[in-house]
Amino acid sequence: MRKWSVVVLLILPAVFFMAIFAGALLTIVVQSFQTYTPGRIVQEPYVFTLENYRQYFAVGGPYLGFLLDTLRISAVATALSVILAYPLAYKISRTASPKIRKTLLIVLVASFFTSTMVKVFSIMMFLGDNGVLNSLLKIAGLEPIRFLGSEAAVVIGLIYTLFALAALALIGPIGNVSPTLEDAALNLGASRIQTFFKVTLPLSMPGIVAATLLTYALAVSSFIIPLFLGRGSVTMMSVIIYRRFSDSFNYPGGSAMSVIVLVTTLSIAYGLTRILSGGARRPT
Amino acid sequence: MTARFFDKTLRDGVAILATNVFIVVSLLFLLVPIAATLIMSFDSREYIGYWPPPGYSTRWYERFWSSPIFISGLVMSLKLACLSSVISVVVGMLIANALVRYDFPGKHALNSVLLSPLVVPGIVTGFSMLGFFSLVGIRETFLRLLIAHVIITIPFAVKSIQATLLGVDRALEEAAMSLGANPLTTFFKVTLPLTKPGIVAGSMFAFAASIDDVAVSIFLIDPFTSTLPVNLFSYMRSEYTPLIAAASGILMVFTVATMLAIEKITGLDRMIGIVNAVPLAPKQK
Repeated sequence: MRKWSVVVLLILPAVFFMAIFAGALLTIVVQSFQTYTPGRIVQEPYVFTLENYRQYFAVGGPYLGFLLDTLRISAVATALSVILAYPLAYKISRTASPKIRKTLLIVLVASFFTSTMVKVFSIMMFLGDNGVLNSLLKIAGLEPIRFLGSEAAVVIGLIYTLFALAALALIGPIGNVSPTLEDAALNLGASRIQTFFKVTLPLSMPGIVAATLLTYALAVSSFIIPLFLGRGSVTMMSVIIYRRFSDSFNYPGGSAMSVIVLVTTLSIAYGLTRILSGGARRPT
Repeated sequence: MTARFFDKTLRDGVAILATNVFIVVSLLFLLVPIAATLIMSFDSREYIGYWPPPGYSTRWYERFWSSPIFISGLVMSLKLACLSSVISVVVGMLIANALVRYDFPGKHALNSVLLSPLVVPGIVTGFSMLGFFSLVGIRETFLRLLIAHVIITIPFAVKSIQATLLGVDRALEEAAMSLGANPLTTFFKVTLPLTKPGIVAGSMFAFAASIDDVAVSIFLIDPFTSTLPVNLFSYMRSEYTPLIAAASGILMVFTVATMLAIEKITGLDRMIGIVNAVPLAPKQK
C-alpha cells in the first residue's frame, strides 16, 4: 500500500500539468463542432455541427490542398534534414579525436540552442532581396534572385531549423551500432561503403525512423518559418490556423483544422512506426 | 585481383573525402547566416541594405536597450524561462523516478502523453490554453504564460532526467540504505548527485525551449505582459531594420551562456550521451 502512495505522489505534479493540457485540447475538440457565424467573436449558443469539417474536406475547396502542401513541404524538408544530418552525426559518433568531436558538438549544440526567431531572421538576411546571397550576386554582376515567398525558402528555413535536432537525435542510434560489427565487416573484405550500407545503416534504422518522425512532427507544426519565409504565398497549416484564430475569429474553423492536423500527424507517426518496426526486427 | 583492391580503396577514399567536405559545408551552412546577422547588427545604416555594411556602429544595440518594450519583454522571458525550467525539472525528477523505478498501469501511455506537447503545433497549444484558462477563470497573464511554458518544457526535462536515471545503479542506493540511510537521505545524497547531468541538461533544454517560444505565447500575452520573441515577432511583421539583428545578437548571448553553463557543469559530451539514451518516438513499442 505504501508503494502505491509513493507512485501517486511522484506522478501527481506531472499529471496535473498534463491534465491541464488535455483539458485545453478538449476545448478545441468541442469548439470544432461549434457553428461559426461570421462577424461574431463569441459564438453563442452552442450548436453542434459537422460543417467545419465538411467545409474542410469539400472537394475542389482550397483547404485540403493546404494540408497536402504542408505534408509535402514538411516531408521534403524532413528528408533533406535527416540525410544532411546523418554524416555529421556519424562523424561525431565515430571520430576518435576528442577535439574534432568537441568542435563539431559545439557548432551543433549552438545551432540547436539558437532561437528560432534568430534563425528565421538570419535566413531572411541571407536570402532576402538585399541579403548576403544577392549582394554577392550583385558584386559578381549577376541578376538577384528572389527567394523569399517561395517554397524553396520555406524548405531551406525548415532544414536550417531542424538540422541540429535531427543530428542530435541521430548521434545516439549511430553510436549504438557496435563498431565491432563494422570492424568485422571490414575484416571480411567489405569496403567502407559496403559496410556502411549493409551494416551501419540498417542497424541504425530504428533510430533514424525515430529522428525522422520527431523532425517531421516539428516541421508540420512549424509556424514562424512559413510565416516569414513564405510571405503569404506558401501556406502551411499552422499559419492558416493562426489566421483563423486571430484574424477572422473563426474559432470553430480553426479548431477543426487543429484537430485535423493533430490526427494526421499522429496517424502518420503511428502508421510509420508500425510499418517500419515490423521490418526492422532483425535476428542478432 | 589487384585492380579490384585499388578500386575499393579508391572508392572508399573518395567517399570519405566527400563526407568530410560535406560535413564542413553543412557546418558553414549553419554558421554563415548567423554570422551575417551578427555583422548586420553593427550596421551603421538606418535600414537593412546590401552586404557588406559600409560602416559600423553600436546604435542598434543602444536602441534595443532604450526600448521599454523590448527590455520588459526580455525580463519577462528570463523570468518565465528560469521559473518554468526549475518547475519542469522538479516535476520531471519526480515522475522520472516513478517511470524508471516503478511499474504501474498506464505507464507507457503516460510516457507518450508526456511527449505530446512536442507534437502539438504551438499555435494550437497556445490557443487551446487560452480557451481553457478563460473557462476555469485563470486571468493572470503571467500565471497563464508560466503554466503554458511548464507544459511545453516538461518533455525535455522528463526525457533528460529519465535517460540519466536509467544509468544510475540501484546498487548504490541499496548500499546507502543498508548502511542506515532512510529513503529521503538516500535520495538527496546519492540519487540526486548522480542524476545531476540529466538535471542540468533537462533544465538547459527547458530554458532554451521557453526562451525560444513564440507560437504558444502569442495567444496568452496581453499588452502589458509580453515575451521578447513575441515582441520581436510583432516588430518583424511591420518593420525590417537592423534592430532585429541587435535583438538576435542579445538572444545569441543567452545561447552561448547556456552552452558555457553546460560545458562547465557536465561537459557537452556527457549531455549528448544523455539526450540519446532514451528513444524519442513516443509511439514505438
